[in-house]
Amino acid sequence: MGSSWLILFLPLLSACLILFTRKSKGLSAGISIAAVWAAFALAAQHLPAALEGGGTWAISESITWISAGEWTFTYGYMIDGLSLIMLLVVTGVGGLIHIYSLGYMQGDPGFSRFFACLSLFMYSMLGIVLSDNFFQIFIHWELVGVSSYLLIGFYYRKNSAAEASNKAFLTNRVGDFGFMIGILMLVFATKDMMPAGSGAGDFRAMAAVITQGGWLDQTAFSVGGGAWTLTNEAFLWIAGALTFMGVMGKSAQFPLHVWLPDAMEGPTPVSALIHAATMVAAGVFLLGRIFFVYLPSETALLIISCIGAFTAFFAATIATTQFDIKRILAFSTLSQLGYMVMAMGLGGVDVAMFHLTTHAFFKALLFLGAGAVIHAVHTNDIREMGGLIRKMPLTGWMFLIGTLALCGVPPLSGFWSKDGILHLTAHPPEYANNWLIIWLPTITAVLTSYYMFRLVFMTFFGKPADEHKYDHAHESPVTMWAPMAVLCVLAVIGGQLVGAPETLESFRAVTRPPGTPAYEPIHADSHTVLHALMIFGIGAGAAFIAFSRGWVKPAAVRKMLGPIPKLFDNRWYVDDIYEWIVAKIQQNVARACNAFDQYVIIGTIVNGSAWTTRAIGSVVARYQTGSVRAYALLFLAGVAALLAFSL
Amino acid sequence: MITLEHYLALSAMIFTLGLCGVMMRRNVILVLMSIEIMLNAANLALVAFNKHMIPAADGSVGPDGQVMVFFTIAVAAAEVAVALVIAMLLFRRLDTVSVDDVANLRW
Repeated sequence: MGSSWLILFLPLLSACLILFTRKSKGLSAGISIAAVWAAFALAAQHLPAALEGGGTWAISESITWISAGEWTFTYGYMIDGLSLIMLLVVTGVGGLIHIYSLGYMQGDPGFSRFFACLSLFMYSMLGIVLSDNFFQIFIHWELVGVSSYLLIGFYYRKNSAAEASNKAFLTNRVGDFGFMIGILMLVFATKDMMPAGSGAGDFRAMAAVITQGGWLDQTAFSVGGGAWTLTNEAFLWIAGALTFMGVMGKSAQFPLHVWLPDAMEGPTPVSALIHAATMVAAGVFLLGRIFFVYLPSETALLIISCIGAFTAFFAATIATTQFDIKRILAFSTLSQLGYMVMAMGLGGVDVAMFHLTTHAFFKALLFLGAGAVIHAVHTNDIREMGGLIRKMPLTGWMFLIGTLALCGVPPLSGFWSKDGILHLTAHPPEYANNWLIIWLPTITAVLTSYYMFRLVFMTFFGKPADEHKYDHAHESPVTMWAPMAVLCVLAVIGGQLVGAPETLESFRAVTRPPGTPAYEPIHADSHTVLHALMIFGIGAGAAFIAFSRGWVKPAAVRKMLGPIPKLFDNRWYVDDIYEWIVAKIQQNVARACNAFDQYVIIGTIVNGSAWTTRAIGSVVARYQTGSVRAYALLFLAGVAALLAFSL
Repeated sequence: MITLEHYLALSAMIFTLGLCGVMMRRNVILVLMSIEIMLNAANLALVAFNKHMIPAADGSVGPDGQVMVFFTIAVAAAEVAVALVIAMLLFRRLDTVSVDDVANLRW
C-alpha cells in the first residue's frame, strides 16, 4: 500500500470524523486542516522525482473494485506530472483557504458542518485529480457536484442560496449527461482493443489504443450493411465533443455558465476554493487528462477553442457592468477559465495548466480579499464601499497585487501564464486560424484590466460612499490575512518560479501529454513586456479616467453606447432565455403531459374502467333480490339457456 | 320390456317434480327435500345409463355409473348435514323457516 492512498482518503476520513466532533469547533477545524495539509505534504514529497523524471514519471496503484463478466472496474490512483501539479494546487490553495475559514466562519452556527463539507469536497476533488480511469473520474465528478451543492447552499435557510445550489447542480447535470454518453462511447469503441487485465476505461490503456496506427480508420459502426459507416475518427470527435459537455458544466463554459455567478451565494471561502481555484478548474484538468481523445480530431479541438474564446470575451463584457464584488470576480473567473479551455483547444496543455496554477493563486487571493471586505462592511455592493484602503491597508494592497497579477502586469505571475496564452492565440494552429481566436483574447485582456480596476477604484479608493459602513470597517484577524499574504507572495513570484526558462522547461515537460504539439514559450523580452503593459494600460487607464478621476461620467458613456451596456447588465439575456425556455416551452410541455396524464391515463383508462365496472354493477345488482326462489328461477333459466345453446 | 327411455322419462319427471318443489315451496325443509328428489332423479339417470350404454368388452356391465351414484349420495349426505344446520340456525335467529322471509341478503 503506497502512502499516496492517504492523499485521497485522509480528507474522507476527516469528513467522517467531524460527524462525531460536531460539538467541538476547534477539533473539527483542526482535523480538517490537518488532513488537507497532510495530503499536501504527501503530494509534495513526489515533486523532486517528478521534476527529475520529466514527462515519463508516473506512479500508480489500483485495486479491482467490481468484476462482472467481461468488465472489470478498478479504483486507483495515478500520479504523473499533470496530476501532481493539480494536487499541489488543490491541497496548497485549499489548505490556505481552510485556515482563512477559521477566521471567516468564526461564530457561525454551522462551523463544524462547514469543515466537514470542505473535507468532503477535498476528497471528491482529489479523486478527480488522482483517477486513472473514466468511471472513477465520473464518480468523483459527481461527488464534487454534490459537495459543491452542499457548500453553495450552506446558508440553506436563505432562499436565494437554496435556489443557487439547485441551479448549480442541475446545470452541471446537463453537462454531465453528455459527459456520461461520451465516456460510454469511448469505452465501447476501444473495448475490443484494450489489453487483457486492464480496467474498463483505463486512461493509459485507452490512450495506447487510440494512438496505435490504423485504429482511427477502422469502422466504429455501420448502418444498413455498410451503406452508412462511421469511422473511429469521426466517432472519436463526437465522443470528444460530448465529453467536453462535462467540462462545459464543471468549468462553467458558455452556454452552461449560468450557475457560477449564482454560486456566489455560498460563503466566500467556498467561492475562493471551489468556484475560483479548484473545482471549476477540474474541467480544464480533465481536458489535459484525456487530451489523447482530442489529439487526433481537430474538429473537437476547434469547438473547444472557440467556446473557450467566446466564454472569455462574453464573461469579461458582463463583468464590466456588475456591482456585486463577488459577481465581478465570478465573471472574471469565467473569463479566465475561458482562456484556459481555449488554450487546451489550441493544443497548449502545458500553458493552460500554467495559467490554471497562477490563476488559482491570484483568484483565490482576490476572493479572500473580497471576503475580508464583505466581512468588514457587511455588503457585497461596491457602490456602498469606497476608500477602504485607509481602513484595511493590508487587505487593500494585497487585493491590488492580485489585481495586477490578474491583469498580467510583468513580472507578476499572471503575465507569464496569460501572455503565454496570448502568444499561443497570436500564432494559432492551422485549424483554429480564425478571427475569434486571434482577436477576442486580446480584447478580453483589455476588458479584464478595465473591470478589475473599476472594482479596485470603487472599493478601495476615492471617497467612502457610505460613511456608516466605512466607520465600522476594520482589518481582518490574522487567520484571515496570513493565508492571503502567502497567496499574495505566490501571486507575485509564482509565475517566475515556473516561468523562468529552466523550470518552465520541466513544468512543460511534466504537464504536456505525449504527442501534443510543443509551442514556443514566451520570453520576457521588451516586445512581450511592452505588449502586456499596453493591454494593461488601455484597460486600467480607462477605469482610472472614469472611476478614479471622474473625467468621464460612466453614465454618459452608457448613453453613448446605446443598448450595449444594457445587454451586459442583463448578462446577454442568457438567463432570461433559459427562464423563457423553462417558463414557456418546458412548462407547456409539462402541462401537456400533465393534461395527458389527467385526462387520458387517469381520466379515461384508470377511472374509466372503474366507472364502467360500477355502471354494469349498478344494473346487475338489481337482480340480487335476496329471494332464494328467484335465484333458483334464474339458475334454471341459465341452465336451460346453456342446454339450448349446446344442443 | 323396460328400455332406457322409460328410465329417463321417470328421471325427468322426478327431476321436474323436485324443481317445482324448489321453486314453489316456502318451507326451507321442504326445499331441501325437493333438492334431494332432484339429486335422486339424477342418480336414477346415472344407473340407467350405466345399465344400457356402457357394456364392457365381453358384454358384461361395468360399475362406472353405480360408483358415480355412491359419490353423489355421499356428497348429498354431507350437503344435507350442512343445510340442516343452516335451517336450524335460521329458525333460532329469525324464528322462521320460510325462505321468503330470509331476503335481507340483497343489494
